[in-house]
Amino acid sequence: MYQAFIDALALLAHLDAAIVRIVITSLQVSITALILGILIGLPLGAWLATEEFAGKKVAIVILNSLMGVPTVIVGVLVYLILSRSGPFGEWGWLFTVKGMILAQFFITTPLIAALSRQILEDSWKIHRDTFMALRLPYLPRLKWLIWDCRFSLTIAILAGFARAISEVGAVMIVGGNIDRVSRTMTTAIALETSKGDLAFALSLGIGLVGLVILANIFIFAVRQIAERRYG
Amino acid sequence: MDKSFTLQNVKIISNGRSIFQADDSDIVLSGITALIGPNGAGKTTLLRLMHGLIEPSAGRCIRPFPAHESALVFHYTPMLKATVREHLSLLRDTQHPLTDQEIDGALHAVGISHLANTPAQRLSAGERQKLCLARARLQNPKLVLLDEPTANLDPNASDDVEQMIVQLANEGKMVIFASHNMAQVKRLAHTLIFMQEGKILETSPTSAFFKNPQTKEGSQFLAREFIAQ
Repeated sequence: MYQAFIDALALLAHLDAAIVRIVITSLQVSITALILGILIGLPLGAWLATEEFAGKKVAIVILNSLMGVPTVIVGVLVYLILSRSGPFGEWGWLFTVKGMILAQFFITTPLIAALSRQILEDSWKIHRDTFMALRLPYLPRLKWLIWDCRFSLTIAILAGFARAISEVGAVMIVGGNIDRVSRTMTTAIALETSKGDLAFALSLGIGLVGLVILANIFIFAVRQIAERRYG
Repeated sequence: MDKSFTLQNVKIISNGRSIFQADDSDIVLSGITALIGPNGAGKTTLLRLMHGLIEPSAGRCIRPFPAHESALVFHYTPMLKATVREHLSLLRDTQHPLTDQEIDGALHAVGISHLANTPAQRLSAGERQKLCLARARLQNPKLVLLDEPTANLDPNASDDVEQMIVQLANEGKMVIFASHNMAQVKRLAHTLIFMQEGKILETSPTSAFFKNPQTKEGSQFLAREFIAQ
């Protein structure tokens, strides 16, 4: 085990080409899915936080439940719609990066929407009267609400990134773990461990944990700077 | 020319409880008007109704101005995580195109130019109220509605806010403010509206009300207030 750890560090230190390729694929998939998740999830969360309509509570319960859906279930569903006989089979996205991004989009979006709804709803209760008294139109209301919560919302974004980069089920099913095409850090760790190449698996594991820590440090630093500036 | 806010059999119900009602009446808007009455009298509700923030549950109210020609300042306004200047530039998203010079002018008028780039959440209660008045001024309203504008302020900050109220009136704006401070009401208001239990009981010139209230409730209210103060 000790030797595997040393070998893993050596692989990382030499920036092994296979590892770099896998890390890049992972980041490409997770960051793209995260951006798409923010673009859809944040406005969805803001809309749910500020609008009153029949069935809102049901919608919130469904959204919160979607946060906890196992990623393998998402993977199976996306596999079904992208498979040759599925409704979007002709896109040819199965076993491609695009398909993996789509799968992770369905994983990150409910998470970001649900967390941002909670954050924005609390702020909306505080600022609602002021916004209404100033007669801010709907979209500017959402814009200023999101602006007010921008530092808290980084937590929702961080959670989305962590869930995307660390999930294995969906990308394994939709991407197929194909070498040089759709192999990500998590799918490679699972494969290399089963093959007995613990050094390679450990090096990817260290890289994965390092990425999550780096993302946390970045968000923490942004919040610190912001709090110093805005109180 | 004086304008009137007309109420026609208005009733406002909140959470199943009637919180405001008025038979046919006109509230003449002129100079500075004070809204007085005990807690729960309906002062804030009337200000919100005048501003168009709420609509009657029954009856009709006719406002003398289009909705965007009044400004409402709450007794406590929570601040956004943004600078003082950003709080004013927020108005650019309403019907008020604003230049940087206008924003600087509004900050100067209320004496907080030096705080332009300060996070608004770090302001004192008095500075926050000045910021809200600067924002109300930038809305260029004909009617300014203030809900207990000097509540929780120290005497110096109160004086500053009172001067701003007088200044707004001198600029030709009609000002209505709710207050529990009878000395302040005497100093500032030309007319007052006395309310109790969601009803307007008396509307009269300020000096006349303090000399000789026309209702038993008004006399009792004044007696309690002066004993308390």
